[in-house]
Amino acid sequence: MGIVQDKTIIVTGGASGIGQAASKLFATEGAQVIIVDLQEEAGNETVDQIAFTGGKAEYHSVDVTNYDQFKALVEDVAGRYGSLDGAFNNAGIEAPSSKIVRQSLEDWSKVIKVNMTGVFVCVKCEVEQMLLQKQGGSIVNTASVAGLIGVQGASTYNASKHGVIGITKTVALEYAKKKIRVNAVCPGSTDTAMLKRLTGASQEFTDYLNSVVAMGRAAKPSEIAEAVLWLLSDRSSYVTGIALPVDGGYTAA
Amino acid sequence: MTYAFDPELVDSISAFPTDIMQNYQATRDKFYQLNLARNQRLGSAGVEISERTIPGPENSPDLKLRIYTPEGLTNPAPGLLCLHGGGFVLGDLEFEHGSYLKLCRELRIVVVAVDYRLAPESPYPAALNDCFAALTWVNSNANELKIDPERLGTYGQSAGSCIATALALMSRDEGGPSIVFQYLGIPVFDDRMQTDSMKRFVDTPLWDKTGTSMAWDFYLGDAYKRGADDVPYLAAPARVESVAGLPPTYISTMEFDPLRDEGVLFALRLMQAGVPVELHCYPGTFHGSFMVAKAEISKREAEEILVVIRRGLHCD
Amino acid sequence: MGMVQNKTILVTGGASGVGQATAILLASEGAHVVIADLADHGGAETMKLISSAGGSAEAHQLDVSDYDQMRDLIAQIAKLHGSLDGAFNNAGVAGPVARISKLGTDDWDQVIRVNLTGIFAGVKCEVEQMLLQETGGSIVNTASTCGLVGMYGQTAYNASKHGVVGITRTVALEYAKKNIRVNTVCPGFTETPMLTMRTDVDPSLSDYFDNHVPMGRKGQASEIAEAAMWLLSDRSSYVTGVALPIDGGYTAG
Repeated sequence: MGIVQDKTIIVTGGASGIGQAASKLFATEGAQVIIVDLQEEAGNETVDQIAFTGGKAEYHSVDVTNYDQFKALVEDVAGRYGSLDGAFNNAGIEAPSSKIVRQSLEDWSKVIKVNMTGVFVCVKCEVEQMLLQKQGGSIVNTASVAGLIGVQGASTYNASKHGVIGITKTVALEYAKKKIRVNAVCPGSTDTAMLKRLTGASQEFTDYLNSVVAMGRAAKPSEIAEAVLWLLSDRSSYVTGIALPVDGGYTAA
Repeated sequence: MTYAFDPELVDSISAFPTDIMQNYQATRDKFYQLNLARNQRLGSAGVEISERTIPGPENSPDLKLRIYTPEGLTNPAPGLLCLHGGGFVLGDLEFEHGSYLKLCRELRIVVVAVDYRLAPESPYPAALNDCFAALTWVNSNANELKIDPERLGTYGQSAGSCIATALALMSRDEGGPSIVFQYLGIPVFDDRMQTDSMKRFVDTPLWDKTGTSMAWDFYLGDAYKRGADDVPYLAAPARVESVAGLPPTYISTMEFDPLRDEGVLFALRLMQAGVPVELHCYPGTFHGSFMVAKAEISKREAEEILVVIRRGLHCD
Repeated sequence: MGMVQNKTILVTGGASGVGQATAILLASEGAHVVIADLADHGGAETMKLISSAGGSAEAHQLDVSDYDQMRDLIAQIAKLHGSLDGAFNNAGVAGPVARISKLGTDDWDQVIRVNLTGIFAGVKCEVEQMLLQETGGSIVNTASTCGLVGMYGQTAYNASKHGVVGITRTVALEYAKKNIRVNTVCPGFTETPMLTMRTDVDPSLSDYFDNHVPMGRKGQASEIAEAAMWLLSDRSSYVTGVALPIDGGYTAG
């Protein structure tokens, strides 16, 4: 029996990076995975990969910042599967790295919209559905170590990720008695396309990033996925409102 | 003389002071400083401590009490009037403070410690009258103190248990509050000093024959001579004609204590008079050896104090 | 395959409460559990419960604040089983409830000695052993929500638990590259003998605890055990130096 056997779980940004690793892991552990992503090709490919190993997944192209769209998806999923048991609100983007004087207002709006408004919209829809369910549900939002501390050159990104933690803790308090748990996972440097975009082709920058992590390396996406899996499962039944660093010791310093 | 002390006590004997009666003023000061420092380290978690000054006996100064009340006490609890030891000459409110804290906290009872007058400055019957005044005051004010007057007991170690016994006798013979139980630890009862243990144990640690004679001399003062026929039984309870009607009692004795036999004999008299009594003779021990807290025999005694008082006071 | 299959894991304070629940869970997920406790029979009852369920365990009497005893036990484990793969340093005392003006220095000393110095001794000995192992190991220390926030009447306890978080974060940094992970679990109000000791004296406290937890209830020892096990397992491979609250949302607000 998988750790999330027979649970229906939405994964936003589930077509690549951490989201993709999570989608695969949840499927291996018995879940019905609903992949939400704007990257159609990657989304479909992930579904195929999961089906190939005997898992259950479907893909939807939905804009997480659009309340009506996302609400319709949630209602559809709940209608077909009987309930929405979990959600991994992971879709997120970064801004180019630069100190605030060179951060553009345009990038600010874009990042806040996807990373924070997107999480707000998704959590709102998910909670609205889970309130109709006696068994409640579990929500995990992707924050970041940048949601806990400052990181030079990332004022926009940090603001959005701090905001994700703010939403997480508040909504956790609001619905704790309704069996709805809300937690955040805070990855450190993780081997994904987002990281590659940040480091460019610079080995020097990659080495630097590794050097500031106690473990001396970036995470594999599956290592972040494991933490999300645990938080979505019933194993973490008394855990809510936390921001769990999965960061190789980065925030311990 | 060599004594078969419990092995766990042997190493600590040299730490016990000698000649405490000979230089009693200096001893008083030294004990006070040591105990005060120790008591401050204890804190008072779970206990509310207050001090009250009450009117003393007629023609006598006011009397200080230290009251230990369990935190959050709502319903009336058993009360325990505690009289410290110190051979009638030493001791104060700091002397057994740690024990009283523990009794209050562990048993959830109200403990009242009495700062009675000491000899030789105030010989018999000053201490007794002070303690009787305290007993009656506690009984009259039981409501305010949150004490159940039907469950008021007394506790004393050494000279304190002598006075406690005298209180029970006074209540019986002259009319006074009823005492539901008395804990008499290592009691002093007999100024005649004729028991076998008193004659043999001349050089035991902390308390010996010389210390006993000095304590009685100071306590009896100029009014009475130690060993004479007219020494009142309220000063030396071993002299009382009948022990019938005394409250249920617990007596502890230590094996190598000159006071051992008078404690055992008094317990026997209580049994013969039909008074419920429990007697425990701790092996390998001496007067005050319970202060060696780490020894198993001392731990056993510490546990037993709680058990018997809990039972004696009918704690909830 | 269990989550901690074939691992040898030490659990201190394993005779009751969270320690007992964790020992039982670990054994059920395939570990060989070494139970250690100050209690006379060193957790013999826990061992019996495990054995009768078909698991593998041994029990030892141990005073965690005695460095020599700790060192000897760990050497014994390594000799007998080849390695020490995990350790749950969980033994702890509550100390009295008293505001600082009423707290005795003796009370302070005792709480610090068991809760903080005991953890130091345990972690030190365990790391020394794990450094000899190529596979490293995972250490989990029991802190508390009192290691994250303040709590009325608990100066010594809170100081000791904050200290446990401090030791954990620091040692995590020191050995992250050696495959040794160190984390804490931070339970909130949990139904264990340590809590019933308080609620027996003051039954109104039980309701107080329930009312002050967003989830509206106390945690179960098994819920804390789940978190400890996850951190001890390889599933949390990129997690080190964290203080993981299992508190029904208590520290979220």
